[in-house]
Amino acid sequence: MLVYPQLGTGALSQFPVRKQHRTRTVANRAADGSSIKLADPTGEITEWQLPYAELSDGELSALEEFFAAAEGTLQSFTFLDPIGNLLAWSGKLDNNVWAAEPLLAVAGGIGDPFGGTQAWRLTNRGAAAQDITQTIAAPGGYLYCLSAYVRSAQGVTVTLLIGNGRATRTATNQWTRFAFAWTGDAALSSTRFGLEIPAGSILDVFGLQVEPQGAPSAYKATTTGGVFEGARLADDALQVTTTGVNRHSCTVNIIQCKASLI
Amino acid sequence: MHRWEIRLSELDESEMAAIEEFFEANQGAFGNFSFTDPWDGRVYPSCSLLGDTLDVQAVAEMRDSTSLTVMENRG
Repeated sequence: MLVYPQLGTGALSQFPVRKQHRTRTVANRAADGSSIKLADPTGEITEWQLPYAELSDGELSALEEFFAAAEGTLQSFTFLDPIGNLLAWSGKLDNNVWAAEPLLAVAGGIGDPFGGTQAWRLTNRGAAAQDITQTIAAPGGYLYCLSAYVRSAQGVTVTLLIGNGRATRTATNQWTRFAFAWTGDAALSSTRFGLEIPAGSILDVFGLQVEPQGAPSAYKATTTGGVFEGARLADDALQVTTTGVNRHSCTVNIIQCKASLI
Repeated sequence: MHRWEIRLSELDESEMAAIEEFFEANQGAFGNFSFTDPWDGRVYPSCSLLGDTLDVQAVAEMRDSTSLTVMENRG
């Protein structure tokens, strides 16, 4: 599996990042100014421009190896949006993308930490721990950060799950954002993320987020998620400028077209 | 017919994600939505985004920017 390299910091990119979404709408405009429009979902294109500065020799080498493996624009790969939340339907835990174990009840409309009602209540009615997870087509060997706001009147110990990595945190009756960073098995082409709560416990959850980096950024609610399969480098050349000893800069352009996946 | 050019800067990541989700939900210029004129509070029930492109610039953490044009539909 071709994997876009993370930097030494665990991040995929440096600021500034430019991201462009392009859709295609066919419009028939009548003489009276009205119009009939037709959406073309297969015409959707997403592009990123990732400028890098002050790269170390090792980081540049990883980028150059990736460029060679991709053979420029030829080979496709799965790209993880460096400024997005990788989870789909992050604010809708009853969506089919989420797998809740059978004795875990999931209810929405709970007050969230920002004054809304977008949080969810997880109630484990079983006699063993139960989890709610989402598996995404994200390479196993990346460094990921899973974060979530949690609250519990019972002082529940919640376990954050990334692949086979687990971290326990104790929720209080105040909303607290917990984060867990972990690198999984590089041989895997998908990774499972989620939360596990012990038997008989109740936990309020909001803002589940996964990012391909070592620490969380502000929560981003999603529907589609930030995993872009079938992405390609947009250029057949990688121009590198060496600005000093162990200091390099370059810009990588990446493009993903939905039509290429159909 | 009305048109509003909306330039947004100094957005945090949550705000920018909401804009991106809105753009995707509308499939660019295809979707219809109601828009409240920020000048006078009047609601225009049938509007669309003018273009099929959303350009997002993440300059630094909590410093995102983009621009959108909203157009009132006729008919």
